[in-house]
Amino acid sequence: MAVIKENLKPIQIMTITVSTLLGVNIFTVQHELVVIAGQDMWLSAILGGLLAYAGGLSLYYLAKLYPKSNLPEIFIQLGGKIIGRIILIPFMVYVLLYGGLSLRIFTQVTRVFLLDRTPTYAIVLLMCVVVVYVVNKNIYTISNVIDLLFPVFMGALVLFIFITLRQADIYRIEPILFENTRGVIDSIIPAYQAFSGYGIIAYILCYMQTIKKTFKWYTIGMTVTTILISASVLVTLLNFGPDEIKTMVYPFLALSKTIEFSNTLVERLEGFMVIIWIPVTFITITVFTFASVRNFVTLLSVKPKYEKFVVYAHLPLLAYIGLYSRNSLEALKYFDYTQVLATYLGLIASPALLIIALIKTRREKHA
Amino acid sequence: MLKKYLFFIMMVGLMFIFRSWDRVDIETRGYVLGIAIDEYPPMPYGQNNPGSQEASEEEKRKFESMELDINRPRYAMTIQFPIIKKATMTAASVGGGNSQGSKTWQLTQAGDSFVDMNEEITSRTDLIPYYEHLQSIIISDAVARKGLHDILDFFVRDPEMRRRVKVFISKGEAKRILDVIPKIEDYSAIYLSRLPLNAKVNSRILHETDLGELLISLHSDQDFVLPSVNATKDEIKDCGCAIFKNDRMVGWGDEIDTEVIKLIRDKSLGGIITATSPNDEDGIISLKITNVKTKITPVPQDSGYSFNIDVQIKGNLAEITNQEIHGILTEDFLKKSEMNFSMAVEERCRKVIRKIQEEYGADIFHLNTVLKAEKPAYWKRVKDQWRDIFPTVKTNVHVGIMIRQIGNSR
Repeated sequence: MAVIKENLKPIQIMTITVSTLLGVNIFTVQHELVVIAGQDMWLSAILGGLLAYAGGLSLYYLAKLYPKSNLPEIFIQLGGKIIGRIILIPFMVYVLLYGGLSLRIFTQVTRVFLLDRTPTYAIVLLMCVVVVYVVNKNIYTISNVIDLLFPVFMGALVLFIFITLRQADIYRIEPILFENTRGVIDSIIPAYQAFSGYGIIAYILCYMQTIKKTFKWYTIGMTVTTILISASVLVTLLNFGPDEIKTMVYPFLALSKTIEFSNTLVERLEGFMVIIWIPVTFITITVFTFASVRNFVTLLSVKPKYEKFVVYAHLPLLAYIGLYSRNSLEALKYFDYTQVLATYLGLIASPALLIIALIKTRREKHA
Repeated sequence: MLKKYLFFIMMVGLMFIFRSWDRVDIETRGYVLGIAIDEYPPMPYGQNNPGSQEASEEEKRKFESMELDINRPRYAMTIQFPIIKKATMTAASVGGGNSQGSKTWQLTQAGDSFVDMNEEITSRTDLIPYYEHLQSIIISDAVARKGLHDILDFFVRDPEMRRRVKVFISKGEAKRILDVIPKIEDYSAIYLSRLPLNAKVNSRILHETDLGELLISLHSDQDFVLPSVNATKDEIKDCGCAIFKNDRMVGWGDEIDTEVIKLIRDKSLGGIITATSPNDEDGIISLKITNVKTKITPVPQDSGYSFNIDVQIKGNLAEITNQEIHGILTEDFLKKSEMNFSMAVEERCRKVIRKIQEEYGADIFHLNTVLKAEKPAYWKRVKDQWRDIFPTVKTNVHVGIMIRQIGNSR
């Protein structure tokens, strides 16, 4: 069972959900979607968000059935010591890979936009050290760090989206849904993958003060994320159009380079993007590393006093995954594979586990 | 406590180990303000400067055409560095530019690859070219006529480049524009990049002409226009536009053409319209544009679509010349003036549309964008033949004028 020393407030579910979900996806999703859905990709983003919310609900209710356990502990309770661990392994692989590959993509973008001469290993190792340091504390430290950063990057993100609207061209999203319904439907799954991380609810619900209001704040968190990711897709589209986005690796970041105010104190807007980019990815990697630690602790039945060694072990693990890819395209390819795994786990495994849990709980009640 | 100290020591240690790879001392950066791209051969020449202590043209060319790769050089790239020491330091010395000579250093390098040319330039200067502050890219018409696709990758791929860099097409050699020694500004590249800001007061200047817009047009197969520039020794003139079909330049548009193109594309920010006075054929009336709204509507025809182009202009009466002006400003005069302005602009629009259709066949008005957005089924049928259809497309221009203010005198 998770050791509960302090409690998270229900509203913190919202900040943790939004911060974790934005992740690196907000910077890569535009290119993924435009190839399939063209100028209608903003509709795919909205539908993908709704699908992610449906997936999130299955994990929310699963976690609610076991209010004192986190996801890996629930697996053990559901499947027993052996089958539970077998169920846990794909989730564990996904969480670890997602964290490590997010770190890699963060490094790539940082090198392209800020530190082009700094070696990849330097950025990866520094980020690993900071992430491991925060994770080594506990979920309360992580959530407090998120509470501190949340208003800063949210304010910057919302302001940034509004500023980019001034150079928007409505013709770039027209015609809407013309002979492209299939494209929109086909891109719902890639759009859904941009919301990876919604499952974090199953790791943190057990640390809540009370289950009451958690549903409300989780719903608000998912809604805010859906709006923000869809808005990021829409403004990128309105500024560049589908053909131009196809040529870009990180369209949302490129958008920040298009905004200039002549003869003002702040001439360029990349600064805003740094305020958004660094905290958001840091939080995502931190939260995923926390989840990964919980997975390993449960899988290996590590005693609480030795948990810190599991945390330290994540430093070389994350660094290895972050440094493994030979180049940017290879890292993005591995990231896509991880997202496919996330789709199976989120849309097939999680609802199936919820059904099994419901049946089991009902049987136990009857018994 | 010990752990905290260990962590602190580790972080400080990391800071020393991971020295700042990206640190470049400000004085070693070569802030590239402008780039000129010319065809090679011949190598572009500098302006005549008799009595100069600088290297002779022959000496320069020896450096500039240093062999770079296996291909025969096709381009000559000139980059402009500011000579910071010579920059205007105080308000009192503003405008004294000419007495000190050029405040910039233009370095030209011939080659086939721009990144290669950029690297080779560092063998001739102790500065490292830095493009974050690049203001203008000038492409010679000779290069533009061969197509822009081949030359833009360096300017897109390099993270230091910015999408808001202004792009211009020079009439003749592009380096000539960078060689200009401006009267007021310190640097010709900055002087040039600020010219489009005057589009607020001059409707004949193109303003949305940066690298980002250019790339969007290229990647979406749109025809487009870029501002054309010409120069004397100390002056640059924004003189209309260069017309592009696909990525190749096909001709020039004069300033009137540019004004009309902006009106039709709903890009006009301001400027002056002139027409004959309703009272006197020799009299001229001028309208200062304050607001323009253009709506293009496709109208079904027997064999496709024609386009209604509705331009609504609001403005202030700015001047009446060559006639008795006092006592003539009645409501009737204003209505007739509106009519005259309307007829004058309509006539200009028709003439320019006809010219573009007949001479160039380039859809720089983006009628295809309107079709694609509003009649997608038809567009799907004709998009592959659009270049053949565009020259025969019928347009119906209607210009509405509303005079809002009449100024200080009646």
